[in-house]
Amino acid sequence: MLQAVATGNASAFRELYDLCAPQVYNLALSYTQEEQSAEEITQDVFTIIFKKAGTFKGNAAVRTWIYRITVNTSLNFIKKKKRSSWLSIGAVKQETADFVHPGVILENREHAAMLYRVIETLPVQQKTAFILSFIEELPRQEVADIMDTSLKAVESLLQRAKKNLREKLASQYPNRRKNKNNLSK
Amino acid sequence: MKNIDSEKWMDDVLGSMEGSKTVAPSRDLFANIQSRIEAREVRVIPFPQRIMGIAAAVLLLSLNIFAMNAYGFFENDSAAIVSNESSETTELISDFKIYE
Repeated sequence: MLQAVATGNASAFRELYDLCAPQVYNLALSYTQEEQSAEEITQDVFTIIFKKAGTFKGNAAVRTWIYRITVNTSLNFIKKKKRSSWLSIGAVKQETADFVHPGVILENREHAAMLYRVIETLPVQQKTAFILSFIEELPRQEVADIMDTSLKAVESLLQRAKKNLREKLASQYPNRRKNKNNLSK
Repeated sequence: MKNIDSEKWMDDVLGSMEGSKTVAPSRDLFANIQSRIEAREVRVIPFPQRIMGIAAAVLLLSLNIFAMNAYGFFENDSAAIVSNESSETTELISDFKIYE
């Protein structure tokens, strides 16, 4: 299919889009925690796929290749956004509301919002390993392939990510109890 | 007891995305991607046109070099030019002595 895309076949490109766009969009959504930004990233990713389809050598699975492009595009997007917010001197900093993933099960909404809040505090590599493993639910070997690292390195990143997340959550737990008590009064 | 509670809560938070649905992007996104790709294709200058542009630039540059060479721009007789200029200036000054 990718070879057909490389020759400019529009229907093959549409087929590839239908197949992969939800995964690309969801991964971008986990990184940016904003629907509009996730759509911008999805646009960028598919423009890159169309342009670079001919350079795909088949060393990895197509899905791995697309995920890798999405991770890189998302990280670049976040970097650019941070840089532009630094440059906008005098701009009023807006308080953003907690992100609630639109696909989350209703009873998990509060927990998921908390999870996304603490994910933001992780270093980039740990964040990527965690999102790919526990949100996208990809096999560890695929995560390693996407991140261009070893399986052992992914396991270690996940261990550290979980430890960091637990530490952050532990500091949030008393507040959560307080909030709950206030609500019940 | 509190410790067990907090551990359970943390496990619940960490596993809160389990079983979540994959969300699809908006329907008009593919059309946006297509129009962006088409716009990019329009902007790309075709190869023969690019070659013609380069050839025209090279021709213009060589004509300029030829013209400059023909008018002696590259000849190293700047001293002669200076002396000519100074004699012309002298003549001009002597021409201004109209009350002699």
